[in-house]
Amino acid sequence: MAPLSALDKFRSRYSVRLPERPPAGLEGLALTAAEGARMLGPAPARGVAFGKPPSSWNGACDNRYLWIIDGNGIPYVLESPMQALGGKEPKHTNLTGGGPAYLGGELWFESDAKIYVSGGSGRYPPASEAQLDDAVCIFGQFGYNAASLGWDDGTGAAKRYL
Amino acid sequence: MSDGVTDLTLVFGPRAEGIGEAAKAARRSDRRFVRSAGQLAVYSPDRRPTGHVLTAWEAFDAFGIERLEEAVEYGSAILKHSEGSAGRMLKRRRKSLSFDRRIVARAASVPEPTVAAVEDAGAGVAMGDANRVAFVLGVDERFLAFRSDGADRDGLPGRLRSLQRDKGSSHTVRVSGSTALLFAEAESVIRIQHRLQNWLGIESESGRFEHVADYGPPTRPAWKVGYELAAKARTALGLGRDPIPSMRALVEERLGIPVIQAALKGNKEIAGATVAATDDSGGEVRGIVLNTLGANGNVWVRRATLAHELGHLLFDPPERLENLRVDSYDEGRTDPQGGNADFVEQRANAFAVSFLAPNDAVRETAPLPLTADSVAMTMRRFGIGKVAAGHHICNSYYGQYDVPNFEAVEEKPSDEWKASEDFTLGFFPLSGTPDRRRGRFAYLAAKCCREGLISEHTAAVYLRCPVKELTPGKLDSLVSLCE
Repeated sequence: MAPLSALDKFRSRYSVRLPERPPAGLEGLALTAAEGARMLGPAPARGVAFGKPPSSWNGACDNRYLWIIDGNGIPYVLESPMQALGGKEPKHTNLTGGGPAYLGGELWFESDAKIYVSGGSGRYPPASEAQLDDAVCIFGQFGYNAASLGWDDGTGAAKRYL
Repeated sequence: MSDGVTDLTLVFGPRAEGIGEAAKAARRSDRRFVRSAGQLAVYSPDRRPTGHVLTAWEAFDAFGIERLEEAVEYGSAILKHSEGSAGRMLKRRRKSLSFDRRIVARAASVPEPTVAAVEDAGAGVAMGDANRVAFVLGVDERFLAFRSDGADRDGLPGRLRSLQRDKGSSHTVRVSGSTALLFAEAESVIRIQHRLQNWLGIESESGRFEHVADYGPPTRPAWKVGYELAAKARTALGLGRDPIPSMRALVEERLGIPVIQAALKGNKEIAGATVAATDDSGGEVRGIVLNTLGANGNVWVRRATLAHELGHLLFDPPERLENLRVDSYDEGRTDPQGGNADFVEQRANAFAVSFLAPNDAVRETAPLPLTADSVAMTMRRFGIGKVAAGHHICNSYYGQYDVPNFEAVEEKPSDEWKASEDFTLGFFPLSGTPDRRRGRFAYLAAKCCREGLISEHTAAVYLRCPVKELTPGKLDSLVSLCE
């Protein structure tokens, strides 16, 4: 299936939602390409920073990206301090301008084609394990070897470590 | 992640409004968190989480504000330390104590395969089961998977091994496997009871006492030091020369020292023990284990056992107490001024009897000549057994007169004595809670649960009962038993 039609199918299946809590201050600022926000395109990814999810609470977590799915596609941004945000790190709402999205999470590029995807977002958490699985499939439709970090039944939330 | 300025209402909800200090906000919060073996999230019943529910205060106290912020920011916070660390920790602890899985399963009230699953399943383990197994092994269940060092210290296992080795010493008790398991569980009870007391702001008077390494030179024997310490303790506690109406209340409520009653079926000769546990800050806290079997069935003997252990606990330096000090009935029944007890026991014996019955007050109660009636009167007034009373009267008169013949004395503790020393072992609202977790421990758990400091899930682990049994009515009933 082509990635865009996979996205359309996903959107028809799930509801779009406002963030769990309204953005405060610059958390609602919509980041642009000039500030480092990107739209997911076909693999391989160009110019991304490579990293890997943490395997423990005190383990390394380098080059984490945040992603969401909204009406435009899958925007993502490197989680690092930004001048436009007053030196703070971006939040998921900086990818939506505080508007609605289907869900969000974290993303690591192990290489330009191999990625790890989690549903770790406090603002746009996956509504269910199935929604997260379907979202990760879309990354696959873009040609990535996409590994989901999965779901944690104990917390009823997306799993966030390897 | 945290930028150094935390909006506490985001983490703790609207009740944190206007509060600037995270600990205060956590206390006031009615938000719940839920943890699995690997992570922590804000509790949302709609998501049907299967993990262990915690109050905001519990989560904050165990994991700190950064983990809670992370949970809010990313939907969950990672707690896992390393792959399979919880299972490894529990297995290592079980093996170091030489327990098989069957005995642990029975004590934790879980099926035997569950113990294997807990040890082997790593992050996929059900937290409720892991918590129950951790509890009976004396491991702090809060830090399962989060810390790797919980079971590494060799305290209790090492001490149990050395007790087994000391066959030739005068202080030898061969601790059975079932008793060792109870001592391990006692570590959890002691650690948690101290924690809950702190959380409830219950003051303890045991801080008034310092360890005393003086066991006396040959010219001033250990029993004399024991008498002096008893007088000192009475003064510090403002007891005067009156009888102590309830040793249980004094030890647990005033001194804040946990007392665990346990049926030591494999060691009926053990009267009591002091057990050490590591507290939340890595320090040491202690409690007393009382054997409910054997002579302690008589409340007067139980009072003496408690006083003897108190003597150890208040005054013996840690190197004397080690991680576990076990006392047999034989040691406690000897005349503190005679017998073969070592000087540590001699001092504790003298402390116990003189603490319960100050020597000068005994002379007033039992004037000369010393007869069987003198023994009976001393027993009734001070609540001590006849062997102790017989020797103590004689010693209170500086050994100038013969020990009165007490063998024929039939004095029994009155119902008043029994009521004042009894724990909540008779009627108890939760049938599955073992004796060793009843009494003040259960009261504190119920009170903390009722006040929102611990969750029903946590209270259920502590009281070894299903969560659904902990209704508000049951909690009220548990609290009222001790108030």
